Amino acid sequence: MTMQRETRADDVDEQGSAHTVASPAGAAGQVAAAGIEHVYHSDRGAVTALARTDLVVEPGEFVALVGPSGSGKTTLLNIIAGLLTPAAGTVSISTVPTSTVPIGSGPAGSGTARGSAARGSAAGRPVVGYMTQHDSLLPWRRALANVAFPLELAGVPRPQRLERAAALLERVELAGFGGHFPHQLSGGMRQRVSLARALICRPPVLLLDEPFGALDGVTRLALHKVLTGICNDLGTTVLLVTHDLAEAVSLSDRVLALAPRPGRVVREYPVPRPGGPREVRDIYSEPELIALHNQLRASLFG
Amino acid sequence: MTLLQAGPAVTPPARAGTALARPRRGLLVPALHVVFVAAIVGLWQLASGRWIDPLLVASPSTIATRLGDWLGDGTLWGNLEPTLEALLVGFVIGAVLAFAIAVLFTDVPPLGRFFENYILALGAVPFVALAPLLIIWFGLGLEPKIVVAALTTFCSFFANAYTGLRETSPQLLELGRILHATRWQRHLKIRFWSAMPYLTSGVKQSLPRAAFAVIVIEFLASNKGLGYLITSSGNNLDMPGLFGAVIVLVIVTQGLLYLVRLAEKRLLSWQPQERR
Repeated sequence: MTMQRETRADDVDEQGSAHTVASPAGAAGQVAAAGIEHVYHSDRGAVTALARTDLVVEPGEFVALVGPSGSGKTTLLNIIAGLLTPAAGTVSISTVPTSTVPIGSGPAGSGTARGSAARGSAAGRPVVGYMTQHDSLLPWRRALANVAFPLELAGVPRPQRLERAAALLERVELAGFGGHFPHQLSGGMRQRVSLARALICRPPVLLLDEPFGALDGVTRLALHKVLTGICNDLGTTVLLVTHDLAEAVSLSDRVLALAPRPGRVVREYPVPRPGGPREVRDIYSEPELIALHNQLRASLFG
Repeated sequence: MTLLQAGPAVTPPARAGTALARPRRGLLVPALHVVFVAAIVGLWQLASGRWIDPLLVASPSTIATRLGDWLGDGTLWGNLEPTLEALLVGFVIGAVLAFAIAVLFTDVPPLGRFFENYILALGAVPFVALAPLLIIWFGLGLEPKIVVAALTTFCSFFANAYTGLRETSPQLLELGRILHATRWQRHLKIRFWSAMPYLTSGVKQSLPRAAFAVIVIEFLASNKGLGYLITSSGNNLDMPGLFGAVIVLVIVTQGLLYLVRLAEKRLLSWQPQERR
């Protein structure tokens, strides 16, 4: 099933996204952004947030976007997420070929769901998971209900969605905290809940906007492990915006360096990486990674 | 590494402390209230006939006797019921209408920007001053009271509901967009709950105002209701009746507010303690 279509700023749907969801078989989770440009208009005139940018992220790839503030990292991510309509260019995200199957009847939740078939279609299903530094947990929902929220919107029946949410909470090492309200959880725990919520629909693509920026070092490392573990299992494509170069190098397959005025991708650094499942790497024990880290720092801040 | 994994996997903390402190505090405060009210009533009874002329201020015992008589002969319920009915029906109509319009205005912001000031201006109209007009239109029955209660509630509740719905955090609305929430899901599952603190305080604000408006209409023109009971007792120089009716009015409105606060406690149980 393929729904490729060209979209420009003057041809957008109600949600304001210049988004294409395509499903060529075998290319689940590919992100392709072509000729993206974005301009913010304010009282003081127009600011080019993003000059013509092309970006392809392969299925299952982990790409980090680094750069000083004003370099358009978040703008690019929000355009890919469909939250911003670019001034020009197209974004297409290929989904799993089986995306027309209701979300509720994945491997974990078997049995067909009444009502979910209608809304669980490719159009209704979120194709990206999205997570920011400021957790956007619903403060009136307990952790479990927060994780289950995307499934609830998609019409998955209650027992099924709670079961899946509980399993995922356990996966992010928060078993036993499902009954807590967000304000009763620490910052790290809230980010675990946010991560679980971003992943509950098993989106082919996960977009992360400095999700660990406000956390202490130990908590951040623990979350890195949780994140890589789950993404390995699901084969999720990840785009991570971060200002932490060590985080970028230790997690990703490829680092894109952006520069400001106007925001654009200036260089691309592949991260040397052994085969096998991805792991959180200790950059200080691998000379190649230290070298890359220094090179990045020099190019960005030198 | 074991440390990292063990970190978050602790068991949820039991809420000690509060459980121990609650029961004693829970009994002490109500007991103090009972003592306080009993002292006031006792002092009043003592003063009546000694320092206060019972023809000007009725004594608690005569008030109690009068309320007992009214309870027995059906006067109390016969006058309480129409007031309560007008208040509750009017309140529900006004609140539902105000909420629906607030939802519409948040959904279509230009509409809200255009009409908001008209609705706020409506709030400046003293509806009780329209009593003669309403009585000509609707007669002496429940209708004019319901209309006034609804209008009063509408104006006061609308401001709260509209502000609350608009104050929804942009991050939560962004979440709704990411998750492809439908328009109804956005209003029902995100905005409505986000506005809940405003909605409950809107009820707490508008309910007493609506009660006040109903009573005033009953003062002006009616043959039933607590307001009527107050004025007719006053006109007959029946001090125990006048005081009794006022006391019933206070107890009823405070009782309603108490129920609202109970509901609020449940509806806002998700807020941190210090914000409640």
